[in-house]
Amino acid sequence: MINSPEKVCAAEPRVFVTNNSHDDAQNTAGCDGAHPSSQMNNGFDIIGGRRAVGAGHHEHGCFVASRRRMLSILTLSLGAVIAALIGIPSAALILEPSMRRRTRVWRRLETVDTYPLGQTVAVRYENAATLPWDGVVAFAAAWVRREKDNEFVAFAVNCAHLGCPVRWLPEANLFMCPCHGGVYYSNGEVAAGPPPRPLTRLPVRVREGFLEIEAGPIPMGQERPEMTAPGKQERTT
Amino acid sequence: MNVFRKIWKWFEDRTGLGAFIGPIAQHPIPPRSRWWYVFGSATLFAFAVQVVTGIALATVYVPSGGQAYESLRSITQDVPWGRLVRGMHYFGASAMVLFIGVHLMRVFWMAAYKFPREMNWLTGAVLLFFTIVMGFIGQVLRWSQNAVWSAVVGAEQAARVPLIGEWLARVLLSGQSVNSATLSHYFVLHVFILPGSMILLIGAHLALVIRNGITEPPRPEDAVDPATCRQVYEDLLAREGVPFWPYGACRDAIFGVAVVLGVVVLAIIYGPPPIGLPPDPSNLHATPTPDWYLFWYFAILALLPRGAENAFMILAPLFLAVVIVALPFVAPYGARSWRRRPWAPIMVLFVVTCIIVLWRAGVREDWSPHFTVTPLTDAAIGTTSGLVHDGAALFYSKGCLYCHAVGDQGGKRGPNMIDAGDRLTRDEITIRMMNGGNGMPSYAANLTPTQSEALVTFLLSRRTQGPAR
Repeated sequence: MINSPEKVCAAEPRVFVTNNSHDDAQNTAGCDGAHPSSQMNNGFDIIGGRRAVGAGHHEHGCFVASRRRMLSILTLSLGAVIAALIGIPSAALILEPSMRRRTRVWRRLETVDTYPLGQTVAVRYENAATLPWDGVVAFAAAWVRREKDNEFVAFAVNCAHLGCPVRWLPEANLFMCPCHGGVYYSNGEVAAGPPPRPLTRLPVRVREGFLEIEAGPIPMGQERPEMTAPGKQERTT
Repeated sequence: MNVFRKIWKWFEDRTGLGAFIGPIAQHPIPPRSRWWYVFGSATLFAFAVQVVTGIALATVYVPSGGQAYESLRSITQDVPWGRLVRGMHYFGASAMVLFIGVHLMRVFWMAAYKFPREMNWLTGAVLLFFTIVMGFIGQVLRWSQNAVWSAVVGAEQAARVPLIGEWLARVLLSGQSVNSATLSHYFVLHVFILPGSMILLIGAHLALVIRNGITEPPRPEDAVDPATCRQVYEDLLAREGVPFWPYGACRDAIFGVAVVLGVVVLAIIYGPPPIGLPPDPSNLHATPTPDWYLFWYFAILALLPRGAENAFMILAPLFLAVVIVALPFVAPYGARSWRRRPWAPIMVLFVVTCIIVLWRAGVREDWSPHFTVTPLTDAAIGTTSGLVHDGAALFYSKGCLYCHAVGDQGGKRGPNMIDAGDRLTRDEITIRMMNGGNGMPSYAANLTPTQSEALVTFLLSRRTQGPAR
């Protein structure tokens, strides 16, 4: 039924060596027979007949190989389509929250008079991006100090080292981090320990007698609100 | 023939299950493969504990930012069996980290990663990475105050990667701040993606063990030669091999019982780790610390020299990954016995010592201010009034005591001040106090002359020998 493969593919005797997946074993049995010592006899070449196309397209044995190669590539491509159809929407849903644009929202705190002059206090406000089922994790905190009448300064609570919450020690006049011993002066400059940069300053403003703070992303890496939002540090109304 | 035998015969005829599993179960293993070889299966038993207890915990746990903590509290305190199962999940994780580490050391020690078992090593390396990631994520899923801040710390580390750092951090938090999305994504990783991947990888790892066989304990005179190695191994098995079932399996089962029993007993005695405070990010009295198996890394992060940090945080894990991946390709052939590979025991000893030393440092946490210290007692001060007493009070209120112990009271970041009067003069103390340095803040703007005088007087009065200098 089949031309003697030894003759057909004499120029490329190894064409069929890698072609012997079990289902097609009969078609190319002659080829395999020509190379009984082949180490690939138990192997599986997922793209059949890799070298057959150029070797003798019109000869029957090699034609089988080339058809098999085409079908293999087609099947693999269809598999990729199935994977893409399932995978792309799913991956998009999973990664969507990370791809969202950064949001910043002004959050109203207490009236200005609530904050005693010169004291550093923790304030609590709602994050800029929250979900209805967030519970307590919808909130964030910052350290705020009223420096003059309508002049406030706010620091992110996140240590510039690795983000742990720094504590304000009013007697010592220092921020201290509980994780790796970072210490900051009252103006946020690094006093000691591993932090590579000062505490991040957050934008604050006074509106209608209320102190407002701009809620935004947790300060991370090089992206710091004070750097990305210049001029937001409004000091007076 | 009883009815069960008949059913089995029918089942076997239709499925061929016995014919499939039989040869795998009875594959020959080399002689002399004794108790050194149980750590891989011990890791697998620990993984089984994690899968089963994890499924059970998922029936009560609620992966919602507002409710996860409450559900965990309920598992721990209210739900019957909850405390035990959560405890088993915790100690199971600990056992898995421990035994995958020991298994790795054993494989390295006996150079079992050499030809033809390179892929065994690589699949195992990925499993090690996944195991540690699972441990970290599991800690975040507790969704306590500690957990939420751990998620922030993890993202902050990722943010230091050049170019993609900020994006990576946002992926880790699933957004710009910690919220329910963070928890849901960690939950999906911990419960679906990573365990699914691990089950596939474990399957591949075991299939490779069957395909390539377990290594025989090396003798100094043996060497891996790719031309003959497989044949030598075949001959050895044909000559002296014993079937895995039941000879090897029995040892695995004995050690496995000890592991699982240990997990259950520890869970009964100690229970799960305390869950701490609710995850309110506006409660700033948090001290995020990792579980014990990451203490050593926690210590590294604190002890790195200031300039080396960025490089280390990014390059060290990368370097470690490259070393692990490259190992079986750099040294695929040659002697396997540690007698011919003297650097192997040195490396194992070095790594184990490093981890133990760093681990201890992580437990002691000397670098952190100890916020929990109480003011010095009058007995410790030695007087109840006067400048020395005022100085002692300031030593506490100004935060000095958080970092400097006086005797056995206080933090350990700075030198102990119990003998400050012996070591330092009045000027030396004043200069250091005003200027700071060596990790100490400057107090120049923070002390009145009276306060400074009181502090110096107090410190000069701390002597263990002789009169003041």
